[in-house]
Amino acid sequence: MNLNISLSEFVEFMAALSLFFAILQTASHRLDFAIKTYTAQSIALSITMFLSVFYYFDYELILSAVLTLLIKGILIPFVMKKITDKIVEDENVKPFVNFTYSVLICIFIVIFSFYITSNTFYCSTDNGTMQKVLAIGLSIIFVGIFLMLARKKALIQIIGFLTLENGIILGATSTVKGLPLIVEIGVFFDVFVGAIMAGILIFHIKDTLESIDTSKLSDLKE
Amino acid sequence: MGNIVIGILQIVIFIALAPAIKGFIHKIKLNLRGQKGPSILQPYKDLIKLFRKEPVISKDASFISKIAPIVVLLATIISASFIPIFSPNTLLSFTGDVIAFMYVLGLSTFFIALYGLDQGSSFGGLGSAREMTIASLAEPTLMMIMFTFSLEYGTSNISEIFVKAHSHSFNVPIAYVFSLLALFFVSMAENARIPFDNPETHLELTMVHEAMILEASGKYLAIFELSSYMKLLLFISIASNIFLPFLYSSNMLLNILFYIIKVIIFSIPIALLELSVAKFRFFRIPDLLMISFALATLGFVLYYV
Repeated sequence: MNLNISLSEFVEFMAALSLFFAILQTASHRLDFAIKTYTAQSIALSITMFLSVFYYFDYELILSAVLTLLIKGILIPFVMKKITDKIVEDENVKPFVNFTYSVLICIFIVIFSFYITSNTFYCSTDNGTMQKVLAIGLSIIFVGIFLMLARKKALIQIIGFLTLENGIILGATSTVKGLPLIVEIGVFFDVFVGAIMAGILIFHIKDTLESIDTSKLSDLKE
Repeated sequence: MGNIVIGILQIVIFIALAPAIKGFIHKIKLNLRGQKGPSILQPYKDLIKLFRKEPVISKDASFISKIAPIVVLLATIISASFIPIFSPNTLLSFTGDVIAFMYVLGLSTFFIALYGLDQGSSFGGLGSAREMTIASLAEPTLMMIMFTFSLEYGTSNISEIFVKAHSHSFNVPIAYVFSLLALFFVSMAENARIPFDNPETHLELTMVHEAMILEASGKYLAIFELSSYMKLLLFISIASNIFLPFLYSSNMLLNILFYIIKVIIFSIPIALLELSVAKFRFFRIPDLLMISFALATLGFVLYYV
């Protein structure tokens, strides 16, 4: 019995871990737990990107990985935490689809993503690693979209959007060796500013509706 | 002939070790809490004391109450005889595979639930209903984990899986990690341990396993306790044999020692989890089991590409 974990397996593992944290978000009952899982997911993503550097020998990815870690792993969770602390409300995530069904639907999403990517994409150099990472990235995108649809609170919808973003970056890393650096930096600041603006919007929703429950947005008011 | 002797020896060692592991986990928990705690040998003393006493059966009970403890014990021993402890020559390795193993184990769960219903006390029925909910939700996860290993090694026979796990290198460690996590959750659920059920308390609102055997006494209680100790060790043995296929030599005595070391390695996380987590609300249990199912599926699906 000899243990040989290769680099490609480690890349797969970190990507799959990031997918698992995305699924865990759909099962989280509380906002602060969702933010913590988002942090863990972003860190797993940045480790995946960092390991892809040794896979592709494309050193621009190091910068992307570090930026992911800084912005998505530290800065955005910090901002989100600030927002949750200021809006003193019950911390429960109100679901449209309950938590057990959410996780079950996410499992179907994962199987579906693996199915649709199974025949489309073959890289000549590796033994299907990046194909798996692409499938995982696609799953994370779908899970993010599902999270945006299935929850009532605005804050967790933002987390769903950020999850979707992580999925896109993972997909880009697996197919085209990462986006060009300029584009990537642009995307990062876009996401960061987007998160801050969403936070400001949440304050406004809170001011006018006295709740961040988006299902109440259509209620009539004088 | 030699194989049969080895098979019987494995069962004997398994049964002899089971109460000690229960005592060991309890001891770690109490020591970490700063208490002294009973010795590791306490479960043996309890069992001997209970075996000497005669059982008292409610007058409303039917024949189920008389046969259920024996069926439970036999089902647990039979499923234990599928599992390699320190040698692949198990007693039942010629027949039956992972699926047979799981359904024989399911038989014991079913008869404990029947026993709970049969005595006519309200707590028993409540415990049975909860136990069946948890068991039915935990089963797909366990199947998925076992399918992953069947795919990996190309066989569903546990002994062959054991042999191949100790000779091959890891092909897909990712599946191993996710399956191990899923197996951890499932074994906590199946053995009625802390995030799912608290084995130490008899609080009527929360108990699951204890509620079913509340009416049991004397010998029958001893049999139920012994079966539950064995079931815990069964799951630990699966984990230690499949997920930790190191430390294997041709020397039989050395293998027994390695087995005990592996079992101790796998019982420490159980004690640590029980210390750090409170029991979950009953309606959150499906979420937790569904997450473990997601983990198992994730491990399984990574074979697809």
